[in-house]
Amino acid sequence: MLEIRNLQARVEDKEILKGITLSVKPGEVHAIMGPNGSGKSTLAKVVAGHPSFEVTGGEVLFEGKNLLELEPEERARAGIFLAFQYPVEIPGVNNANFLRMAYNAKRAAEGQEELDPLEFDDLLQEKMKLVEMDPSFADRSVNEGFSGGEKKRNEILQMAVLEPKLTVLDEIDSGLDIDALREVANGVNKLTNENNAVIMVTHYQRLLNYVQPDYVHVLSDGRIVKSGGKDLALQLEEKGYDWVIGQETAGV
Amino acid sequence: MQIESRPRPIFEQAALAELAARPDTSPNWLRSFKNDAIEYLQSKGMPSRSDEIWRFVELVPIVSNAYRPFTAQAVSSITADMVQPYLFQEPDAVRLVFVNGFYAAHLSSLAHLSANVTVVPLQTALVEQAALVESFLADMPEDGRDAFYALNTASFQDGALIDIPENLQLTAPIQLLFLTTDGHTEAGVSFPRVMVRLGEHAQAAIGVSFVGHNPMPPETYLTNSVAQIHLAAHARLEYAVAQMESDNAFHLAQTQAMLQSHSQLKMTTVATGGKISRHFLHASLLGEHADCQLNGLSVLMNDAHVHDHLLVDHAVPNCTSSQLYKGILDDHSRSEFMGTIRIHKDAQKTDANQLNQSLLLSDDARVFTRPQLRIDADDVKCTHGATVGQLDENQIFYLASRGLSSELAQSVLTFGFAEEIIERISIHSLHEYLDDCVQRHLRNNIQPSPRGK
Ligand SMILES: Nc1ncnc2c1ncn2[C@@H]1O[C@H](COP(=O)(O)OP(=O)(O)O)[C@@H](O)[C@H]1O
Ligand SMILES: [Mg+2]
Repeated sequence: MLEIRNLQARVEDKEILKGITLSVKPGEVHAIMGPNGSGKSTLAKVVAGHPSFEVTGGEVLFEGKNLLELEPEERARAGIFLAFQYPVEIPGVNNANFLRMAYNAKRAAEGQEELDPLEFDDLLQEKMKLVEMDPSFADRSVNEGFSGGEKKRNEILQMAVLEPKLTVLDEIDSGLDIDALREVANGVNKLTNENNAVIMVTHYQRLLNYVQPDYVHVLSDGRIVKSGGKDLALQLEEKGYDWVIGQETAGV
Repeated sequence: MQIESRPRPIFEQAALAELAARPDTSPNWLRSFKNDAIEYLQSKGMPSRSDEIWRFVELVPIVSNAYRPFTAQAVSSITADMVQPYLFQEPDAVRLVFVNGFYAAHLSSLAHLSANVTVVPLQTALVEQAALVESFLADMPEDGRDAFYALNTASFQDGALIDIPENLQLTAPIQLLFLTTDGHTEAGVSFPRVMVRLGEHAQAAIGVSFVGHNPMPPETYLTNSVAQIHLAAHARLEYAVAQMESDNAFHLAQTQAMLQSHSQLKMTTVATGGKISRHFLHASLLGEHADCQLNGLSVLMNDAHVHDHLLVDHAVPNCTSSQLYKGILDDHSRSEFMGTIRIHKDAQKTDANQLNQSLLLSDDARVFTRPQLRIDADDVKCTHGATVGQLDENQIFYLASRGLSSELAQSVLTFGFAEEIIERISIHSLHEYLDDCVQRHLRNNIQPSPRGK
C-alpha cells in the first residue's frame, strides 16, 4: 500500500529525514517510536504533503502511484489521513460543515453524489457515537477552545468520517488521561480492518497496550535505526532509547 | 414644470446659502434645528484633513460632486419582488422600506406591529410624535456634531422613528431598508435619519440595510445617514447594520448611542459596498452597569475605502464595553480603524476592550489601525490590540489534508474569519441575513489564488 524508499527531506536548510525506508501493507499496524526531535512528525507531514518540507531524495509510492507528485488534497482524496500531533484551531468554521466538505470532496473524487447537510447529519451522529464524542462538538468551530483530548478525539472523528486507507496518527496519545486514551484507542481499533493500515507515531509504549502494532520502528536523527515486532516496544520501555541508538552508533 | 438651479458642491458657501433659502414646510421647531445645522456648516466648512480624525479620509472625491437630492420618482417603480432578496426571512417582521430616501408604503409591512410599539416613517412622526423627535434632535452630545451630522440634520426628509415602550420585549426583528436605485438624476443624495428609543426593560432587535439596487444609479450617489439610539435603564437592543451600497457610492454614516444604567447595546456593522464609506459610531455610557458591544466587519475589494471611527465614552463607573472590528481586504482596498476609548475621571471599574483584526488577501491592500485611549480614572481595565495578516499556512494545510482544494480551503478560512463577527448576532434571522450578505459577496468577488500564497 505504502512504499517509502530512502526518503530524505529538509526544512529550510536543515536536513531532517536522512533516508527512510518503510513498507506498509493493508491490514498492518506500524508503530514509529523515537525521541523528541528525531523526525517523526516530519515524516508524517511529508507523507501528507506539507508544503514547508522539501523532499530532497527518495520516493514514496501509494498504491503504486507517486505520492510526491500529488497535492495534499489529492493525497487525502486518494485515502491518506494524518491525525495531527497539534490539530489547528479554525475559528468561525463550523465543525459539522467542515466534516461535510471533507466528506463530499472525497465522494466527488470517487464519482459519488455529495450528501446534503441533513443526510450528512445522520452519518455524523453515527460516527460521533462510534468515537464516543459528545454531539455538541459538531456545532462548534473546528478545534476552537477544545481541550487537548477533545482535539485528538476530533481527529479520530474525522478518520471515522473519511474512512481512509492509510492513517498516520501523530502522537494521538499525548495529552490524554488514561480513560480518554482508552476511548480514543477503542475508536481506532473499531476503524481498523484488513483493508486499511495505520502508522502510529508515538514516543510512549503506553498507546501500544491499547492498539497492538504488528511492527515497531525506531526513528533517530532522521533514520530508522531498528525495526522489529511488538516486543521491541517493550524492550524500549525497559531500556530506553539510548539502548538502540547507542547500538546503532556503535555499529557504524 | 419646475426649473431647478444647477447643484453645487456641498460645502460651497453658495450651496449652503441655497440650502438655507430652500422652501421648507418644516414646522418652526424643526426649522430652527435645521438652521443651526446650516450655521454650523457655514462657519466650520468642510472637515479638514489636518484634523486628526479626518486625516485618512479622502473627502475631495465625495464633496466635490454636485449632488441633487433624489426625487420620489423611482418609488413606484420598485416592486415587492425586487426587494425580496433584501428582506429578513422572518414572517412576522415589521419593516419600513425607503426608496432613494422616500418612504415606500407599498413595500413596507406593519401588519405584525405590536400594540403600543411605534414604528413610523419620520414624515409621520414629525406630525404625530413631534415632541419625541424634537427631544432626539435636542439630545445631541457636542462630540457627535460634525459636518456630516450637520448636513444630515439640515437636509433630512425622511427616515424612521422606533419607540418601544417600557417592559415590552419584542421577539421578531424590525427591519429598516434604505434602497437606492436609479433615480434618473445625476449624483443623487439621500439623508436617511433614524431615531430609536427603548423604554426601561424593553428589548428589541433592529436591522438596518443600505442597499444599492439594480438598476444602479449610473453615476455616483451619496447616502448621508444618522441614527440615534436611546436606551433607558435595563433596555436591551441588538442592532445590526448591513451596508451594501453599490460600488460607486459614497456612504457617510453616523450612529449616536446613549446607554442608561444596566442597558445593553449589541451592535454589529457589516460593510460590503461603497467606494468610500465612513461610519462614525459614538456610544455614551451614561448609567452604571451599562454594556456596549460593538462589532464590525468590512469586506473590501477594488479600491474601496472604509473608515470606522469609534468613540466609546465611559462617563460613569462600572460599565463594560468592547469593540471587535475585522476587515477582509483584497485588491487595492483600504481600511482605517480609529477606535477611541475615553474613560472619564469618575468612571472607575470600567472594563473596556478593543481589537482590530485584518486579513489581507492582496499585497496592495492597506490597513491603518489607530487605537486611542484616553483614561482619566485609575482603577480600570482597558485593553486594545490589532493584528494584520494573511491566511494561515497551517490552517490551509489542515483543510487540504482533509481533501479540501486549496481554493475551497482559502474561501472557508476567509469566511471563518468573517463568521467570528456574524456569529455574535443572537437573533437567528438577522444572523442568517448578514451571513448571506457576506457569503454572497465573498463568493462573487474573492478569487482565491490557485495554490495559496
Ligand atoms: N517547520 C520547521 N522549521 C524548522 N525546523 C523544524 C520544523 N519542523 C521540524 N523541525 C525540526 O526538525 C526536527 C524534527 O522535528 P519533528 O519531526 O517534529 O520531530 P518529532 O516529531 O520526532 O519530535 C526537530 O529538530 C525540529 O526542531
Ligand atoms: Mg512530533
